[in-house]
Amino acid sequence: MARTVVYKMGKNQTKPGNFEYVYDITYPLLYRIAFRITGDENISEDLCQEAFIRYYKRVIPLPDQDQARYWLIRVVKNLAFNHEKRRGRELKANYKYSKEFNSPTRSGETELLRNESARIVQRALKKLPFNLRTAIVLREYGDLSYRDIAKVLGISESNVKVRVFRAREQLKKHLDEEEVDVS
Amino acid sequence: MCPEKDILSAFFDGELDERFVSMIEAHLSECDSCREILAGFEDVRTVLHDAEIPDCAPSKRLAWSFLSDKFSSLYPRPVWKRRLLIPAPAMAAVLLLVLVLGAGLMVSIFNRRDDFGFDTVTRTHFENVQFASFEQIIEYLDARGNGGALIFTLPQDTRLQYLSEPTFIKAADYKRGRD
Repeated sequence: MARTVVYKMGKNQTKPGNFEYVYDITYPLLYRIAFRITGDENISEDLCQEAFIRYYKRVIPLPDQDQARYWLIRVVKNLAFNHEKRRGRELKANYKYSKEFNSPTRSGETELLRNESARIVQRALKKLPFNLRTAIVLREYGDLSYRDIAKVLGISESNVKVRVFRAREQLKKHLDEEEVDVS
Repeated sequence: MCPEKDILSAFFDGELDERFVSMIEAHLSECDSCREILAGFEDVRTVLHDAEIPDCAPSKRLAWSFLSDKFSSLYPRPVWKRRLLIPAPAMAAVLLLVLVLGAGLMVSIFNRRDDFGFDTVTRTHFENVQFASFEQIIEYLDARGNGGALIFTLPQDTRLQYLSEPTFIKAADYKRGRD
């Protein structure tokens, strides 16, 4: 994480150079997080794109690159949550919820995750409640400290600690069930 | 007594307060079950990080081209390729203004008095005025009462009479024709 470079953006947030810089630095991170939360490449791209649109349209500029990053991660997290809620409702309406939810052959996932263990990880993550999933994803893939995660999620640090731990515990259980060699 | 598992998890993340780190380390050296829990965390982390994540570069490019299309200021087009959008009422107002101003200008040009102002002096104005001598020209100008620039064009076949060499006179000696 390029922490040493802090761009004072202020009003220049949407100037071409600055926007592009933040985009370059943050897109891979956002994408990684979005992908681990949603498990779908196309959705991740949509979420990242939408987050940057909102970033561009933001009226009050963010003071520096770190704040921009936290803000963008928070937006992606919220968008992912909305998406999941929506899809959950749709799937329930179709009475296919449980079947689809665990199906490894859903579009977008199969082609890209040829690697079987990657698929198992994605499935195990999907089984976590959204709150725990975001906490562990931000910790493991976002490379954020508990304090940063607390800022992004808007919860206390001790709450982050508990969520990360519970996510780990549940992940271990799910992975054991999938018989991945975790020990 | 073993620490809570969430404390171990925070220790594993390097997020534990320094005061407790040495205590945990001391405990771990003599507690197999806690070491096992930590190993479990480590295994989960390894599996998570080994799992493949699709390359984001194509998606990054796609999203960027979408964004730069959407927000043209990110990649300004050259001036000649830009689309110019003028709202119809504004366009109508501009046309009307041009029409009114243009008509006004034409009217003012045609109604202009021949006052031989500097900008209107042309040769044609003088073609009808004949001067027999230089004094007549001076008188004519005096009678008009305003200044202006005059261009004297001598006829092609004029034969000038030689009077004397041109001389410079000092301003102090010049008496405007008075003796």
